[in-house]
Amino acid sequence: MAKKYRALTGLNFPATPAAVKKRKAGQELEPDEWTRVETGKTTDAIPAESISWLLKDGLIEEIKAVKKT
Amino acid sequence: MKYNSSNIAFLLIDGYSVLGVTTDLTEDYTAKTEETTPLGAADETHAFTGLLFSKMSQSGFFDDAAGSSHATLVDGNGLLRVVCYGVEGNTAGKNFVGFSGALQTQYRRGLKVGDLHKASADYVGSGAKNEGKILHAHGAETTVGNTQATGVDNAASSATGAVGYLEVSALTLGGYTNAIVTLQDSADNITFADISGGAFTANTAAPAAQRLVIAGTIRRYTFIRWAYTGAGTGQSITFMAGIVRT
Repeated sequence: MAKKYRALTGLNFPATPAAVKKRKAGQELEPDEWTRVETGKTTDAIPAESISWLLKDGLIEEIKAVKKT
Repeated sequence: MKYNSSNIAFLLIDGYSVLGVTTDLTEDYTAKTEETTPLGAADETHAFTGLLFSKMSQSGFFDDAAGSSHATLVDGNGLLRVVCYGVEGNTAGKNFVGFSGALQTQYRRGLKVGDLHKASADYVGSGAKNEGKILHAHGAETTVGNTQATGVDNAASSATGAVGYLEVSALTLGGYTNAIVTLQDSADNITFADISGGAFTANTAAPAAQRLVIAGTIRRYTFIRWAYTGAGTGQSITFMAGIVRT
């Protein structure tokens, strides 16, 4: 299951792995290939490549699952 | 690369776009010095006092149309204006000049038989003069968007903050509450984050201009995002935005 993160600032990123691939290949994305996550919202769609620097810079935080007892 | 007058991208004074009525623009950037020649010296010597000084003058045609030269300048004496101009073309990534405070000192109207009326103004720099990168070329946007196709690559992050400039020359809200313009950056050119302290105050009228001072790290790639708040139709914002890494 993909990890969930809370955005601590507004974020824009390619909406799908295919869009990430296009972006990395230097191709221009259509407006509907981008997505926006506002501050405080949670998402599991952040591109994997970006998670480490976003965490390191304090721009996202991981949402830990709470175990049911 | 050499440039000429056709490369002047914009001249924006507190959001007023006066490029179309301007024929001359001169800027001086001077190091203040003091003569230090002692007795007995054969040659004059000078030392830099540590102060830099800028002044600017513009001249062109008198035009009393809404938002043109007369409206821009007539009540401007004594005002600190946010002035931006681009000399290398109206393209993201090109350099622009921004004044943190261009104090308008004089407005002149020149009238002469057989000539079109002229208008000109002088400014002294009060504070820093910045040379930065255009992030959003001066132009209109009608939908939510960003400059992620034309982001500016600084080759590395910088750690000592930045200054953001926004000049809004036209705004039609069409029912929306306001238009928001935000500076963004990215470490990988894939995901873009709103820069802390990089949101310009919401725009509700034009012409208008803002200058933001941002602290801390600015990541390698920089962008502009714009959006409208609320709902409406027929919206449009015409603006230029840029960043200066300090």
